[in-house]
Parts: sequence; structure tokens; C-alpha cells
Amino acid sequence: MIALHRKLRRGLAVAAAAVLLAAAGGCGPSTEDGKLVLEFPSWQADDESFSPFWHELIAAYENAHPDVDIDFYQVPFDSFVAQQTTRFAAGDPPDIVHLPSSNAVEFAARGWLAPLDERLAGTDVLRTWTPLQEQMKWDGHYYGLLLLGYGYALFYNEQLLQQAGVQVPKTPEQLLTAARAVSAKQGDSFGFGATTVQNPDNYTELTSFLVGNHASWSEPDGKITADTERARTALEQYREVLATAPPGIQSQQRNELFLNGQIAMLVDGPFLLSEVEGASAEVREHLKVTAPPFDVVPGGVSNSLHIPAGAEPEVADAVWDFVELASQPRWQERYTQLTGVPAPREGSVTEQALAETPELELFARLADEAVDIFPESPQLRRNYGRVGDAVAAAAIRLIATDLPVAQVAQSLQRDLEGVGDD
Amino acid sequence: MTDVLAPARTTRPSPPKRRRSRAQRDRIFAWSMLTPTIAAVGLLMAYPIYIAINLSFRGGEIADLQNLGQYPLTLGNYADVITDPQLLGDIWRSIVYTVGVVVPAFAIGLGLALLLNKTFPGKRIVRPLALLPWAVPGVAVSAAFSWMLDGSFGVINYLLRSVGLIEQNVAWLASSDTAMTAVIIPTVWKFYPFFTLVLVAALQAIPGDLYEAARLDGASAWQQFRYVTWPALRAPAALAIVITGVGVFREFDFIFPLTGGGPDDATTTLAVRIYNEAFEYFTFGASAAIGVVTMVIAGALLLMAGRSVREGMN
Repeated sequence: MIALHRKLRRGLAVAAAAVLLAAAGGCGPSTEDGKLVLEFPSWQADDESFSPFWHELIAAYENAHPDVDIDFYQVPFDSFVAQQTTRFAAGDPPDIVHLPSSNAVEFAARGWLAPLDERLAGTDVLRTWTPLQEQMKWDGHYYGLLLLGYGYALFYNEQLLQQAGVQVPKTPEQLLTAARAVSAKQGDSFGFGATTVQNPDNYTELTSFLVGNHASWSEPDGKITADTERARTALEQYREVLATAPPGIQSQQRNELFLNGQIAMLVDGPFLLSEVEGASAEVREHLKVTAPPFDVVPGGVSNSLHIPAGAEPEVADAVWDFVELASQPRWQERYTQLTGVPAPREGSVTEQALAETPELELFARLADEAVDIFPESPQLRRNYGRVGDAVAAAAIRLIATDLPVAQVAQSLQRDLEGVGDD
Repeated sequence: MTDVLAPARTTRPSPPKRRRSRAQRDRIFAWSMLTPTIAAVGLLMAYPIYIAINLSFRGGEIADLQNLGQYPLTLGNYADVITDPQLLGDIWRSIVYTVGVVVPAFAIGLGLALLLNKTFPGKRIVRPLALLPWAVPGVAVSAAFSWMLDGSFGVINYLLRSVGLIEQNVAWLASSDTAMTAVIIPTVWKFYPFFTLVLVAALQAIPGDLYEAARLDGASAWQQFRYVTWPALRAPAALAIVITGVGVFREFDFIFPLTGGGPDDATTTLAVRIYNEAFEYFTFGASAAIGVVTMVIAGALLLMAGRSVREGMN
């Protein structure tokens, strides 16, 4: 019995030591074969347009840092923010943090991201970057490096517009006329394409109309402006134009219908261009892009790189080296060339890239002129999820109900005023 | 054997030994069998429940779930949640969704069980096909139905237009009037086979003599169902309804991928709200408080339903 106890005690001690060793191993930086391993989850790891850039950049980084490996892997976009939220809340963030920029402020406001002011001060980023880099700022500090800021463009099917006898629209009124003319024709053609089920894309699409009409959801001092005359005009335009859109579809279905030649016009960012390249030849030749039909170019921030707060100094330095490499002129030019969208560094659109993708000139101009659709009020910015839901619900009321626009605007005004009360 | 044992008995008299009764031995055996399960369930269930309850009483902007102790204890989350008019709407939609799923799923399951209890040509093919939906993951069902219910090119609109039931396409998932029905349909499709399985097993346990006696007494088919079949099905049916009802009450797999709780909150049930509070709005405390409220409601329903099940068994 004593022997058994001794064996049992020895077994327990070995097991406890193993658990402690495993736990200790999980505390410090992750290493493999003596190399530091940086975990880098992204929704772009398998993306046809963006992954070639990332793989080239990672290879260059690993060549320059033979003692570091980057574990770059795919996480589906639909669950990306939820997964990162869980990891940060559980104290287990990834090393290289790649975020949809609209969520970056929410993460920064919760103390999950490290401020980058000192590191950025040692670079030319703040002098050479698009003004949209300011969206990486929270409470006076920069928390990320913007990788893509853009202006929205009007993608259109020239053939469908010609068959309907209308010109490419330059104003919201012309947009509505053209959309109605296409939809009035027989067949399965739709004048305009948009997300017509409740979805985060409702926010970007409705807010594009809003910003395009010189309006916004809030002022920088926090005053909510969803029920102004301009805002109501934008809501009315959105409702009327979307009445010509296919009902009950998401953005992917919208894009497929556009590429099939069944949608005449849609408003989207430059990243749609790579999908347009995949359309069949007989449709592709009719698909064109131009400036959006608004007085103001609505724009947005797409994605950004960050360092997690509380990272080990060795890890934080290694991640910063990666972020800094991505910001170098050579890699910014390569980003533009490979992805077909203008990188945020000034002068990233080279002659070679322009020769390959002539639309880059338009996209670069739109990005420079763009006014961000992200809310201005700090209260709304740090509660973007709630704001996005409130605006999406208003969008659905406009699309799927007969509620008067004034009533939808008043209700949205109340919802946005209530954001952050809890 | 007696020769071998006999000397031992005489040379070494055994000390008076306290022998365990059979009941004691059975109890020890039962506990030894149950202990691993109790330990596993305790670890897998009790700890998360403790964390959820702890979280629900924490105030401030919670950003670190590993160190909940740093956040002040408060009843604020419950006060906010209980006074929020949206909660009643969420509970109501959860009930509508649960009843909307359980009633038709039970009816289909019962009908199929009665059919599968009969002998007919092709039964061996029909039986696995009828039970197939039970094996399909909820998210896969949702993906398939999102295309079928598509407002512009979905096959459901096509079929309804073909038979003249609708003139124009219906945006099933985009309209507040139809979205709840649109999420109930795939959930029913997924859950009816469970009722079929349980009820077929119960039907096969009914002795044929009872039906024979009923027929001799001149009972009609309906009277045979009412006085022979249904009394035998009542307890398993109640149990299956309770299990399915509680499962559907907190169901997330179908609603979130199809509508995300929209349009305009038309399909926001308690489960969707819990997710949104935590992962869309980052309000972990409120999310946990709604989770606890949901747990209490589900527990109360279970207690009430448990009484029905016991009555059914009696």
C-alpha cells in the first residue's frame, strides 16, 4: 500500500511538473526550433487578390529575419472579428494583429492594442500616408498602420445603360433615372445592385448616400445628425434607388449578378475590380468604372496592422519590424501592383502598375478626395458595432417597409443618441 | 474443493468481518460508475456556468476575462437587461420561434413515425431518407436554405410562382413579415427526425394484442390511436418535446447565418442577442446577464415540462 502511494505520488508529481512546464511554455513568446514564431491570422490569407502580396512580404521578412517565422493562416471573414474579440478578451491575442479598420477603434478603446506613436515618429508614415490614417487614432494616439483607404466608385454595365437609353449618371437624380430605366425593361435586369437583407454592408451602402449628400450621422462633438434635412434626402434617395435592386440578396450575390450582366450599376470600393476581371469575356467588355454620382466622394478604411497591448518586448519589436517593412515604398508599390488597389503611401501608383491597371488612376484620385463614412463622434466610433446595427436596421426599414422616411430618420436619431448609454 | 478449503477454515479462523449488504455494494458500484461522468460534467459545465454568473455581476468595460476580479461587483447588468424593453421582445420572439418549430416538427415527426411503423414497399429506403436531416449540421442547412429562400432566384419562390400561390417573388429573409417563418422552416426540417426516431421506438414497444383487442371491440382507426397508441406515446412525446423545446429555445445555428437577427430585429431571439451583446457590442457583462436570464427561463420551462413528463409516465 505504501509502495502504491509512493508510485501514485511520483506519478502525480510527474504529471504536475508536465502541466507546469506546458503552462510555462504557453506564457512566453512562441518558439519552434529556437525560432520566434509570430502568429498572423487574417481573412486575406487565401484571398486571390491579397494573399500573393502577403506571401511575398512574409518571405522577404523571413529572409531578413532568419530567427523569426510567421505563421500566416486563414480565418473566414464572417467570424474574424468575433474570433479576435474572444482571443483578446481571453488574454491570448495573436502576435501580428490584422483587423478590419472599422473595428480597430473598438479594440483600441478597450486597451487591447499598443499605441504606435513613438514607433511611427521614427518613420515617414504620418507625412506620406493618406489622410485616412487619422482613422487609426483613438484618444490622441495612433494604434495602427492603415493598409487600405479608398473612395467608393460607380461600377456600371455600359451595355445595359445603352439598351435602356440612359447615360452614365453623375448625380443622384440621374442615378435614379438610369436605375429605373434599366429595371423597366423586360427581362431579369436590375437597375441597381445593393445588399437588401440585413447585413453590415447596409451601413456602408446607406452611409455612402449620406456622405455623398454632404451629411453624416454625427458631428465630431458627438451631436447626432441622422434627422437633418440632408440626411432625410439621402435616405429618400437610398430607398428609391434600392427599389430597383434585386430583393433579399447579400453583397456576394449582388456581385455575382453584376458579373453575370444582370445588374446595371453598383457602388463599391476598388477591390471589386479584381472580381470584375473574373467575369465572362462577353460581359467583362461592358463593365466599366467611374466616379460615384455624388457631390462628395464617400470613402472608407479597409484594413490595418496592429501590435497587441502587453506583448513581450521581443515580440512587439519583431511585429513592428514587419509593420514597418509593409510601409516601405517598395512594398507599398508592390501592394498596388499585386492587388490592383492604391496603397495608402503617396506615390505608390507607379507607371508599371498604371499600365497593368489603368483604373488605378481613378481609384487613387477618389482615395485622395474621399470623406470617410466611419462616424465622427468618438462615442459612436468606440461603439461601432451598435451603430452599424442601428443603421442597418434603418436601411431595412427603408427597403422592406412603407414607413415614411421622416419616421425612419427620427427612429435612427433616437437609436444613435442611445448608443453608449449602457 | 471442500478438502482444500477445510484446513484453512480450521487453522486460520477468519476475524469477524463486517460484510456489506447487497444494497450498499450496488450503491458503491453505481457511484463508482457515475463518478467519472460527474467529474467531467462538473468540469465542463459547472466552470463555464460559474464564469458566466461571475461575469454577469461585473461592471465597467470588461476587456480581460481572465482577471474578472479587477472589475467591480454590481447588479447593474441585470438592472439594465431587465428594464430594457427589448428583452421582452427577445423573449417573445424566442417563444414564437420555439413553438413555431416544435409544433410542426412534432406533427411531421408523429405522422412519419406512424407511417414508418407500418409495412409498405420501399420502407427500407424511405426510413433513412426521412431521418437524414438529423445528421446534417445546422450551419450547412442554413447555407442551403439561404439559397433556396433567396428573394430573387430562390427555388422556393420559383415553386410558389409555378403553382400560382404568389405572383411576385417574396424576399423571405429581408422582410420583417416573413423572416421568422423563413428561419422556422429550416429548423423544422432539421428537428422533425428526432421526434420520428423517439416515436417509432415507442410505437414498436406497443404490444399488437392491444390493437387486436381494440379491433375485436369494434374500435375505429381513430379510436385505436386515441385509446391505444396515444397513451403509449404520451410520455416519450412529452420528453422529446421538452428536449427539443429547450434546444430550439436557445438555438443560434439557423437564425444567425440566415438573418443575423434581422431584419429590424424581427428574428432576434435571446441566443442571437447574447451573441450580439458580446461580439458585436463588446458588452460582456450584459451578454452574460442575458445568458443567465435565458438559463433561468429554460430551467423554469424544464421544471414545468418535467411535471408533464412525470404525469405522462404515470
